[in-house]
Amino acid sequence: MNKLLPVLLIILAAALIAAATIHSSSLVPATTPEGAVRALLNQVKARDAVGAYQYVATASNTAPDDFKRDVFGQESNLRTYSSLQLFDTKVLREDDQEASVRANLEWASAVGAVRDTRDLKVVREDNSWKVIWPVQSRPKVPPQVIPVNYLRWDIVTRGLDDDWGAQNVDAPRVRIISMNPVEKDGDFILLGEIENEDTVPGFVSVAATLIGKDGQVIAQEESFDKISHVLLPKEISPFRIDFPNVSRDRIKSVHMQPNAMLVPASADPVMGVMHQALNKDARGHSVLKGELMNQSGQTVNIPHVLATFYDSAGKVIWVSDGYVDQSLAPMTPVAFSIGVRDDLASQIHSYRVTVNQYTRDRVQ
Amino acid sequence: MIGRIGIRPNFWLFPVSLIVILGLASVSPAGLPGAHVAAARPPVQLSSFDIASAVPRPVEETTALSVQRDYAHAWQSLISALESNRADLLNEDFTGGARQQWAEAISLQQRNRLSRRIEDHGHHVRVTFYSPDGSAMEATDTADFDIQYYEGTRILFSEHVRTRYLVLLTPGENSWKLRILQEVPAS
Amino acid sequence: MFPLRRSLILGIVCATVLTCAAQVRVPATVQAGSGTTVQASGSGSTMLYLFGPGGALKREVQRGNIEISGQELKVAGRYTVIVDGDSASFFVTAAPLQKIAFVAHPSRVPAAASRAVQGSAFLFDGFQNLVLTPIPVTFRLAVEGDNGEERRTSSRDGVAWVQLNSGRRSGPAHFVVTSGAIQVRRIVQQVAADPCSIRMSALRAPDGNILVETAPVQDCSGNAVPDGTIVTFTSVDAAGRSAVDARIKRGIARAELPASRSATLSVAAGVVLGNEIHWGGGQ
Repeated sequence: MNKLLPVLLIILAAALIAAATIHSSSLVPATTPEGAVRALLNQVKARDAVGAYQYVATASNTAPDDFKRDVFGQESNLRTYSSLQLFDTKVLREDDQEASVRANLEWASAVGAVRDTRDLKVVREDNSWKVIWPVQSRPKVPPQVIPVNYLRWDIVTRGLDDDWGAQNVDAPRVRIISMNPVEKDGDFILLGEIENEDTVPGFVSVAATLIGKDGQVIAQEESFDKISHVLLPKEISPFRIDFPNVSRDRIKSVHMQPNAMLVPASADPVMGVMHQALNKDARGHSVLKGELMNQSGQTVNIPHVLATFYDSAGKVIWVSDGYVDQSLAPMTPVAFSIGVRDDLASQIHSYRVTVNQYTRDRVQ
Repeated sequence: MIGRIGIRPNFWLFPVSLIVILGLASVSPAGLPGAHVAAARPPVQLSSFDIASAVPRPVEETTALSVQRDYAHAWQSLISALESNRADLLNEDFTGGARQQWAEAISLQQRNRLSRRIEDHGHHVRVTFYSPDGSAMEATDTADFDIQYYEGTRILFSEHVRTRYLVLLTPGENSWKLRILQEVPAS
Repeated sequence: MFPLRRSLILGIVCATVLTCAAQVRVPATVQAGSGTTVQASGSGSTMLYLFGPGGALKREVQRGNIEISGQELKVAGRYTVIVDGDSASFFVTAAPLQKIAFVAHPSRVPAAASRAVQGSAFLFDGFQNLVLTPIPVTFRLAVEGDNGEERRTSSRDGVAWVQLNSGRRSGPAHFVVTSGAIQVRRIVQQVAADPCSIRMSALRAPDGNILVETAPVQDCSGNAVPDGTIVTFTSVDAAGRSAVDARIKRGIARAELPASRSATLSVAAGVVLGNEIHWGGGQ
């Protein structure tokens, strides 16, 4: 008995290790189209690329590496800093050989929750259901030298020592050129645009203070990421400041405070926003779609798109934003889509899209 | 004899300690420069603050309120600093030349076991200049003081003065700071 | 009450013992950094105390003429001398002008702006005291090669100030304040104001895209709008709206918009709109 126990324990341990090792290669085949999608997404949620790929249909014509890059990110794009948090699925259509399943995905990312809806085609392959997961192949940028000779602003300021009256450089002059308070779903929202009127770049933000009817401060908020913070000379950015659960009739006045700091900056990258158009998405909601074109030579890792919507009188009626989870390779168009309030779609007369960018290994 | 190691309270020591402490307290200032200061001072009052003659830029109401608050606080700090010989009390409200000069005065007071006790009877401040860019404000201040000059705890001399100051204030990060506090002959 | 009683007692005592009493006499004013003499009546040694804004002195002295060095009287203000319980006060006034603290604002200003350049000069002696006597001060603002603008004034309570118009030419303007032999210079960058008009032209690129380019962008005084300024080119066609925020480079902004058979092209910098081009169709 004394010898038998250790032997049994060793066998048990070996069995457990084997089970743990082979679990990803022996996943349960999906018996329903929805089951296939759910199984794939569960593996994505568990960050198991190999396991998830087992539910990808051969007909997708997607290589494992492409699938992995598509789901888990590449080139430090936003997907790299995201993980699938929640999903729900709904069968849209189904027959013996083929089905269509809608998956609503919510990714937890470095910039907050990112929601995505995918209508996935599911097919029967080898007696189980598998998901068609097409990955758009990205054109490879041919090796080349792209000369970039845009301006760069560096700043020399006076020292910290108390040299009063010494020469210094002023902060850039910025101006709020429009402001429109709106109320939506019980929230009070300030929309508008700010312009850098100066000849130097600035790091800008807009703060707002709501004063109640009793003269007391109700709330203070900042534009946070609903603004382009770095504005080059004569650049205009929209801003949106949300005050959750503040009713408009409580407010007597609003104090707006545009802030600007002089910062070193570079005039590149230049980004084109092409083929912008208002459309409907798969669920019938209004979206603004288009393509981003990075016209410089360096990959932009995380693009952030800001859209300003105007009514026929030119008044800003909404500002929305969205992060694009793909990076922008030089001269390669990447599609974007931003949600638009359905109740405002009919009032939108024009719109303007600007792009914020984060580029790794780059200070400004 | 090897005794046990332990702590045995000496109860008779408590009343003795108490007597010593009370005794020290009763003769408190002896040999302790600036120790006569222990009493809390009433806040410095600005009897008037006139911004009507400020040029070239009018002083905004909110600015005037901040300056009044900060200027009164600066005097409070200076009076405490001169009395207790603590130059660090100037750091919050003074900057540039004024901080340097008064800190030096306090350092010399401390070295010579001297101090000054100032009883403040109010200030009449009139802003004469507010720079167009808002970066400096000049004012005159007519103030009434009772000043007692000390060596240790011994009063050397007491006087009542009505005096006039020329004041230059500049905005710091969170408050206006005294950059120049120059006493001038009454014109 | 207490000092009065003390002086009385001291007076009675000193009426009998001549050497202990001292009447202190001082000059009314002393220039900062200059020494002075305090006269204390009587003879023998005693202790002198001096309290001022920049120091506090205690020294054993011989009654009679007591020297106080300039080093001890650097800071302007009222000084109180105490000898044997008697006291006298004198004022230290600022020495001649040695330094000007010149606060110039702004560091950048649009060309041809009215009263947009402001300068405040604070006049100090060599000991950080404000020089309070009125002194003539001259302010001058000019871009090199330009006449610029000059204003003469006089200081009051140690301050002189000026508000000047910026010049019509862009470039670094020298903003100089002069008083006596002291001169302080600041640089005010005169920059182009808003673009006066933006003219754009368009042509087809070899790949079919639309190349848009502005004429040199200038303000209404003819100054080139600085490089790096954003110029937005927009194309609206059946496929939607395309926009590129181009940067002015060497006075000109250019961009490439997507190919289109028929589009409306427009250009803007900030809130200033340029011309519009109808591309395709009749073009």
